[in-house]
Amino acid sequence: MMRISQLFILSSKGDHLIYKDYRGEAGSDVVNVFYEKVTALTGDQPPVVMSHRDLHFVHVRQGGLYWVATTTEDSSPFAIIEFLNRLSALVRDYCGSLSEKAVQMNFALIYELLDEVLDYGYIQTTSSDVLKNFIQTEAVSSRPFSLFDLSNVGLFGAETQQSKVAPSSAATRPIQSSRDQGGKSEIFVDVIERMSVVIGSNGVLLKADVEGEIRVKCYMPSCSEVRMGLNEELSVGRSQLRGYGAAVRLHECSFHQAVQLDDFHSHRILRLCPSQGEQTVMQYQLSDDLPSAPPFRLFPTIERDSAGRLLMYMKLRCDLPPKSAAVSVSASIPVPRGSVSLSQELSSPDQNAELILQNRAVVWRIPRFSGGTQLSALFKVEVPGLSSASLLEVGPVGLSFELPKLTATGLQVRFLRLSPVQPGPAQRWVRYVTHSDSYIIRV
Amino acid sequence: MPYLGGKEAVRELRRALSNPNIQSDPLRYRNVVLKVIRLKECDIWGQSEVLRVLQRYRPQSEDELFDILSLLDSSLVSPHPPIMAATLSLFLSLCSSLPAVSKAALERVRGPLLAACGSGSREMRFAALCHIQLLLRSIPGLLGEHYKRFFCSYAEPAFIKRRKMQVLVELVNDENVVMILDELKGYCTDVNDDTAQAAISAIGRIGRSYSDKSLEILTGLLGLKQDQITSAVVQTIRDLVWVCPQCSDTVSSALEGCEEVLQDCQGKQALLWLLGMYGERVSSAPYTLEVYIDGVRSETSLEMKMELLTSTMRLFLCRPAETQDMLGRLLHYCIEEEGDMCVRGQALLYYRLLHCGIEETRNVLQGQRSDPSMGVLIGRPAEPISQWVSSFNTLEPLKYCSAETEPASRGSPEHLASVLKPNTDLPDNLDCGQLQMLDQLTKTWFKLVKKYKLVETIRCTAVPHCSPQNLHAAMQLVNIQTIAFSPSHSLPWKVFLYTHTLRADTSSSTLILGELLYTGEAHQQYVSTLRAFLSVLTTVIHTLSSEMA
Repeated sequence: MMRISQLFILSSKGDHLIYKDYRGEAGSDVVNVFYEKVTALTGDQPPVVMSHRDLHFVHVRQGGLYWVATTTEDSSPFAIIEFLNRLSALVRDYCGSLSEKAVQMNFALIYELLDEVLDYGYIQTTSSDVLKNFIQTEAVSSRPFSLFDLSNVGLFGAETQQSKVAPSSAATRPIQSSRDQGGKSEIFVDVIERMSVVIGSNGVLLKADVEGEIRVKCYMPSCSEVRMGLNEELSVGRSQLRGYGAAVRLHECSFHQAVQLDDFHSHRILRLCPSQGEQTVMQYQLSDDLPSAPPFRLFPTIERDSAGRLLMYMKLRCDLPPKSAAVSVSASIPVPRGSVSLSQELSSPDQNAELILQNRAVVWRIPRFSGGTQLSALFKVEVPGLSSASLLEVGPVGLSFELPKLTATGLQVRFLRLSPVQPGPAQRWVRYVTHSDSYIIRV
Repeated sequence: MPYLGGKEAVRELRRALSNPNIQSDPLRYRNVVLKVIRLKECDIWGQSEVLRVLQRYRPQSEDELFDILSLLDSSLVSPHPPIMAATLSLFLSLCSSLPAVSKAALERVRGPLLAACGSGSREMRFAALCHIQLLLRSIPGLLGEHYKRFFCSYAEPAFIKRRKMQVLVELVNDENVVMILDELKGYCTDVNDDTAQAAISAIGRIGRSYSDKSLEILTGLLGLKQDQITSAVVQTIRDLVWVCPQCSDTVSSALEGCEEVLQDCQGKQALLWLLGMYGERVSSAPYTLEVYIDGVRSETSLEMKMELLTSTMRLFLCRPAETQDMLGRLLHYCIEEEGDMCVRGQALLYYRLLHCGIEETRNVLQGQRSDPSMGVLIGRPAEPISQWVSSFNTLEPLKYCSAETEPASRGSPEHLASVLKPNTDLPDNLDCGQLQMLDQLTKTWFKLVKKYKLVETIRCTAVPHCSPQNLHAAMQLVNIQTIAFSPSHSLPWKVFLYTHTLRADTSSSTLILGELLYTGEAHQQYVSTLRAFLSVLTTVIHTLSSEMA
């Protein structure tokens, strides 16, 4: 039987933000016990499950906060972790964003949510469709809306092409406010992909996995059916092929249970009635079969100069299509233990590089990197007593980046129709982004 | 809570299952169960609850069981990990008497579990990894081809990396060993010391089956001359040599110069153990020990002093001329000046032992050089599913790191062995699991022999009388691999062998299995007879392979 005995939210500094006891099985001092256990451990994150006598703490970290449930040993870890993640998603939906401040300002709302979501430790519902009938408290938002609402309006109120881009903050507002703010009905469809790539030292692609999902964030007061068309030449599975030319291939995909797939096999159309807030409509994977070249390649030269310094000459090439660009690219290059200082020559002033001693790495940041271009940098690292063996310590280079308006698999949303047609002007946004989950280039 | 579809279903099911009237009528009972399974309007919490409650229901017939299984098949591959886990748990408990079905369920669940391993939530990844470790205990080859999914991402926290490495070690096979070792090599210089250590010991674990490649990496790491890495490598090498004595040659040449780099006690202890065991092959061994003996006054660690005593004694046995003087000084210091009674007692014991004569000392000190248990070289035996099914989908698997990859605070392997195996005075020095394993192996063996009727008995009067390790190494040279062998000194001594040949013209390959039995009546001497024997064996195998293909 899965039950949650207590549930609490702690800030990263250990402040008690929310505490709720459902079953009275243990005192509130367990919060301190938990935080002591967390701080007693070194390392970046304490293990997910910790136990204190016969009480078990399961926690997840979301938005820099600890979301902790105490439970008995025979509970399903999958269910509890999924529940805590879902709870944090609900809080994000209701409060607009997920941060210490947002939780503090909306504590009444969150307690109300916790009352409805769990009863005597048993999960009741986490569906925002059901919950919206019970939640009365208005969210307090830490940010005035007017600021980003303004950015949506073009010059002299004209609807220019420029203003057709949704600001990234547009989807971070509470779902409930749509009710009485005149109901600005909007729907966001985000196609988010995460790449994990390993490129060998000889430039061979050793591993290339993409995990993606389509997330729908809905701010429409009344539920209406959404029809979403994906690429027609989309093929699912390893053997199936559809269409000629540039087919989009996924190896595995799964859908939210509310999605109706009647038209999926013939026309690649998904139908669903989204509930308010955010939900993942489709998840998919592609392994070892990128349709295009990997976005970045690195050509490193590493040597020891006559003055005993470590010389690293890095040439980084971006193989994206020329019109697209990667943003917030950062390359982390591990350097030998005992490195002291760094001098660098970078090709443009907007880049920067620094030696982070704590991580023993040189971090090279490039704010914007257009497709089809190449950047180079020369790093000189002062390492006392550098031996030729130490060059082996210049380990695999890790790249992190974001590719806006681009999907690695090529998956696209062809159209997004709402039916019946909404009374007011319903705005529909489709956004694409690819993140680097782990992009490692061995040197 | 009136507003819940899922809650209603659960309540209905629970009421039905505890109602004696319904229970007594199998048909109604069955209908209730099937009705609830078909309910699709439950949310994921309701569904996992239903699946949990269903575990109490025992189907009356096999048909009904398969009925339920096929109805639940879609939940088994559900994209929601809680449902997938609850369904698998139900499947395993329903099919406890049908191992083939359970196995099929585990194979079917592979996709969703792998997807959960790549989930956006770190915590979910961790839970999935821990459960994959459970699954691998029963089907070691389940995920061999998906090893790349367990490569670590640089941003992952150390506890996920550690689990991933444990999984990688389990997945190693002939095809992927190079890739996995390459990947692990990259983690050895990780900025997080725990991760680096875990990677080094993972390479050591792989070394038990692929010793050449692993040792190459490990000895390469010694070249970095960094205290923490060197310490971890020396400890790993010690543990590896204890299990695979055939790689001691490579090891002893790599040990030179380590003592200057080592800082911590654990690493120094491991080095001392190695020097004591293989001191006759490391030319600088006495001088290394001398440095430690000169510094023994300032040494604070008890374990270090004990290890130093034993190692010096062992080295004295094989290189008396160089060691005698320093052994005298060490014993003198430990008996006259040492404050700790443990160390003093040990020193006194050794001193009196030396009085009994060199043969006696040799008998006491030069016992086992390697793991005395039977060397099974094909990895861990597959455990039955029932061993872990009760902890599946509970918090249990998430709690502990398995003990074997815990590199911290360990003494010499022989102490470890005596701790782990309290029943070492069993006649064959085998522990029960291995006995069973051997039993099973022998049974399968005879089944195979019967099936193919390929018994070819070769009698050799000239049987080698050298150590099994030498024989083993020699046979590896001619590409004959060992599946299992019995401990040295036991009679009759047995080895199970296999070799396989791949013919260039056809894609088919031939597998040859062999059993070597030594009953202990031979008296001949080493090398020439061994050669003769091996040539007999190879010719036999060659002729066999040409006949069979």
